[in-house]
Amino acid sequence: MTTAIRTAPARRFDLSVFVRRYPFAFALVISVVLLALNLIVQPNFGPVQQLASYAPIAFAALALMPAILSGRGGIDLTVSPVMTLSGIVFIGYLNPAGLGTFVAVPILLVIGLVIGTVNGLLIVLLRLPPVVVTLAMMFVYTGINLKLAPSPLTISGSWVRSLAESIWVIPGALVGLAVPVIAWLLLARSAWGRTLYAVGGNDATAFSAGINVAFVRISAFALGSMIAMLGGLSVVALTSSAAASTSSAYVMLSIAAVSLGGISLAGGRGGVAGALFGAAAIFLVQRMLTVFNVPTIWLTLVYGLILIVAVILGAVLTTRRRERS
Amino acid sequence: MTAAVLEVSGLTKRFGATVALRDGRLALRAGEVHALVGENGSGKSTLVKILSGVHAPDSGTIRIAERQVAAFRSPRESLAAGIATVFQEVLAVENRTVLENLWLGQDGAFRSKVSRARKRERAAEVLAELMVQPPSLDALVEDLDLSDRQACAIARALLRDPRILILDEATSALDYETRTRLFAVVRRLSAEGVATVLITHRMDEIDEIGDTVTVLRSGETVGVVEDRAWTTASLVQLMTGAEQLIPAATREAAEAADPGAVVLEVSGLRLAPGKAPIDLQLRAGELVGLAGLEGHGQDAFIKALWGLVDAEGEVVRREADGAARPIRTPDDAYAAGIAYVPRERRAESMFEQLTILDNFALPTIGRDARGGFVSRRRSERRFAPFIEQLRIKLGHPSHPITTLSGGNAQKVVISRWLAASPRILLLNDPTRGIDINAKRDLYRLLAELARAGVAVVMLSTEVDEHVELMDRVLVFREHEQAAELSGAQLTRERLVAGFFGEAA
Amino acid sequence: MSTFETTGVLTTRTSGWRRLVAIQGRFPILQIVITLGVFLFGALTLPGLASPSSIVSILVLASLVGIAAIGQTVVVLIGGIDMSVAGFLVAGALVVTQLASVYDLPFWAAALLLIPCSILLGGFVGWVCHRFRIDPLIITLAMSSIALGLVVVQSQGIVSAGAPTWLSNLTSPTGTTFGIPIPPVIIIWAIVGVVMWLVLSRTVIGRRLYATGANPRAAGLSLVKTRWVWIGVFAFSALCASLGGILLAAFAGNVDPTVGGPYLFQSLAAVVIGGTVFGGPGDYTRTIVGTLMLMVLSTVLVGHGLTGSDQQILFGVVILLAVAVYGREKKLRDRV
Repeated sequence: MTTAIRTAPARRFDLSVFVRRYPFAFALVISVVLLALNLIVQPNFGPVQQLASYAPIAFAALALMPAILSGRGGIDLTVSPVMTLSGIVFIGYLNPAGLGTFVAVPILLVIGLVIGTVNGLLIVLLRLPPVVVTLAMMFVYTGINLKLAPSPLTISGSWVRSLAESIWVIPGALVGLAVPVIAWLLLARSAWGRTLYAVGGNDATAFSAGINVAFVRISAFALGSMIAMLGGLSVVALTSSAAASTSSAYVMLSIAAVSLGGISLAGGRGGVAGALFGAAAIFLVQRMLTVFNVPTIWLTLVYGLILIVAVILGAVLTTRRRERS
Repeated sequence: MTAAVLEVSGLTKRFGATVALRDGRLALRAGEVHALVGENGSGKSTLVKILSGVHAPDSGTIRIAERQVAAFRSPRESLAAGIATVFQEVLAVENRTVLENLWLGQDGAFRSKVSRARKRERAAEVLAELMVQPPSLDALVEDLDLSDRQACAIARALLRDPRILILDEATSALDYETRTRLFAVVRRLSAEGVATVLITHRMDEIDEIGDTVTVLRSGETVGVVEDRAWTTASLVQLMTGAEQLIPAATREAAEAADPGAVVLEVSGLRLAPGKAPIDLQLRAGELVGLAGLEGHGQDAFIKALWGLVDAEGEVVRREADGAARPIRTPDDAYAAGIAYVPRERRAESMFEQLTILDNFALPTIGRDARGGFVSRRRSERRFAPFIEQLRIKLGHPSHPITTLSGGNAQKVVISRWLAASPRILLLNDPTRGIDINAKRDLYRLLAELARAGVAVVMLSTEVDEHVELMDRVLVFREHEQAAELSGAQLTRERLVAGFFGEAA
Repeated sequence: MSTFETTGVLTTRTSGWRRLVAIQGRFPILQIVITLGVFLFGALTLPGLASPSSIVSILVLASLVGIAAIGQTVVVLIGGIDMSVAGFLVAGALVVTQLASVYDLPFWAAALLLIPCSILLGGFVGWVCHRFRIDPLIITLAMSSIALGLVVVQSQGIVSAGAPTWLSNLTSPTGTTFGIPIPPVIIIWAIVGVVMWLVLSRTVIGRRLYATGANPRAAGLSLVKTRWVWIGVFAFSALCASLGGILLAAFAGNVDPTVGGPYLFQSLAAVVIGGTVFGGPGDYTRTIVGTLMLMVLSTVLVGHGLTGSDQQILFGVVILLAVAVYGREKKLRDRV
């Protein structure tokens, strides 16, 4: 039991209070600094293309967010292969069938809903650790990707391309990202969002107060997979292809993005701003590496270092003073 | 005769091999304040958890407002039936605001049922009635102290406008003013026809607001006393099946010992910034009790003696040869012959997957090893005398520790530390959740240890243990030592008064 | 034989089914039965499966996975997952083949270099995970890239000829150990198995490891240095994986960075299928059984036309099944 501590009234600027209120602050600062550096080194920035390159990692971070927020070690390692799956399904099946935007996208969302619900059911009903479940399902979906697309699929002249270019005057990537961001903002303010944060913060308390914890957790995973399916389209928009070899491309970077953005891996803390700014920071670091012509063979090492640094920083930032002995 | 608003009979519940409830019975009338009492392990918490929907009974019936239910399958159902429960464990979502915590669970799946303005209004009302200085509705719960957090949990229950309010030892975390106000609220609710079930082990609370008392022992209801017709003695008799908690023989044995040389010196220990420093000189063969309401510093104090807590001040071990060793970490303490039995058995002491023998041998396993290899037989040989001395009931040491009852598991944990032959033994609420016979064995053991010259410091939440077993008792209040009682002054009344900061 | 006292503990009649379940909890009977059953099925339907050379081939494959799974076993026992097995395996393989030629190092020097480097990197992982309370999954994921990246950078991405012939002899199905017609890698695996069994079940270190996995808080209060346990376990895991990389180089010949991937999920699958639970209970003998079951299963299925992608799906499903049997978490009700 925690010992009773009478808190002293807050006098001056308290860093821990600031960090708790704005967990994305650190990622925001880093993003701004990196953006400035990038612009100095390479002034022709081309916002439309850059946003299109940024979109996949932003989607990955957004897709990861609900699972992590739901607490109890929640994490979703299937985000990356599901994004690839989405691209494969779109290029390989939906596009050839001539299905337009308003039919293809809902179909992809339904697939995402099923995938996420399966993850959620395994975790909640069977009480299996989320790490192991999503790791195992990651293998399954990677295998499915290989089966469906043994060699990379390509696409040309589809409406999807506009997600990487401009829709009227707005960069396509922003339009694409607006969908999950707006959906999340609406949900987060609603009762569902409140119960999600409550469950992530302390599920035993939520349960005792009559909240349907199972429903909240399963729906969080479902939402994440749906966002991942949308994210797959952003990859297709960018590369005009879908390859099974990209199945694990976003695993590390999405976790790094989320950690940097102040979303606590323990659950219950953080929000969409964190996911977006964390992803921005990661993206800008990647860009710096390209700009400075860092050879590809260095990339593996650098990404690993980035992840470790990001996660340690994230842990330091989100750890509040604990007296739980 | 007012109508029965809840009737429970024949409830049974088993967890694995342990029978928690054998025949639980409870009859609740509208507007009644009904106390539910019993020893640790008597089944009262299980009964409450069944009523609040956390567990489903194996058998039995629950009649609520003329309707019969087999069980509440979840807290949601129990809440829907008009039962609001406040648990002993302070349940709060730490990283959310007070307002959110108060209204937790009252929204629909996607939409709120109550407007935001109304929520704030009602929340402020309830908090003002319950607390002298209610926190801001937008404060984060993790910034509140334990008493305020529990008040929030209580407010959450009150906001449900329940027909039945259950308080499961909910008062132990509250400070004095809040507790008084809570009882005022309970009386008001009682006048409005709301029934309250009060689970407590404090006689003074029962005397203060109880109308009826139901007593549980060993998983069944053994008595119901109505119309305030009880005495402390009669209740203790029902709870324990004996007149007094601690047999006379044990008490005499404890009294016979004469304290020896000083073995541990505590100087200037501050449990929290700005609090009065505490000094203590612990002597060999002494039995010292640490008492107080939950969260008033006694827990931090005993941990400081083991080097677990970083507090201002000094803890020094005085060895037989006069050497002085400062205690700053558990390693220092252990090396100086001090041993600590933690409070939460399952979370802090037991390795549930390991065998009884492994649980016993772990800290001292070096003694059974030669060249790094452990000899099981040596461990068994070291364990055997403790099985006998503590009367541990087990099948075989190679069985998993989960086959033991709470009392026997606790004995294994204690023997783990006795195996190190400590000169000072620290015990943090060791009799929590164990049956009466195991408790008696423990008391006997402590008396024997004291006679053998071991200094014993024991934190306990049972007033009788302090009164009947200890040489002296330190009473803690607000992270300071409020009193030290011994000899003729060590009485129930003085102790309880000390908890509340009053001189008896 | 003392009898069960009934005070406080209710005795239950032990039916045959319950006794079976209890034994299964301690010994992986089901897995052994499945392994033998599948092998029998394969022997009947696939000509040549039961031939000595075929069995030796399966055992060679199993040895490689089994050795890769040593570290994974102990990491799972303390409650984590080691995603860096692949990285260290490949790093180890690259160091003794490519790095040796790039820097003109004799084989033995390169192999010895692996030891302190992997211990340092692994130890760092353990320290970070314990100090900052971060899930090892993520840190080991990062370390996998770091370890591999460090080596790849050093070797400038050059793909060399591969392993020397005497090295390949270690894992070749026709290899011999001092005259006995069993490839050395199998003998190495057997020895390792015995050592692991001894250390885990009979030594002080083993006890402390199990305690740390079973209840870290109680372990700390029982004066076990849990931080050192974490550092030691991950250092050990990294060391085993990098030394295992030498055998991988022997087996695979040409080493490229993707070669390690399958060993990661196979090692995890082997541990989980064997019945070792996160945080314990479990041991390395279970992993050995799990490895054999996995190898026999995949060999027979590949013989019946299972592709690489099917294998991955299969492994995922099998991991899920195994965890569903052994590794379920406590009910929410019990935590209120």
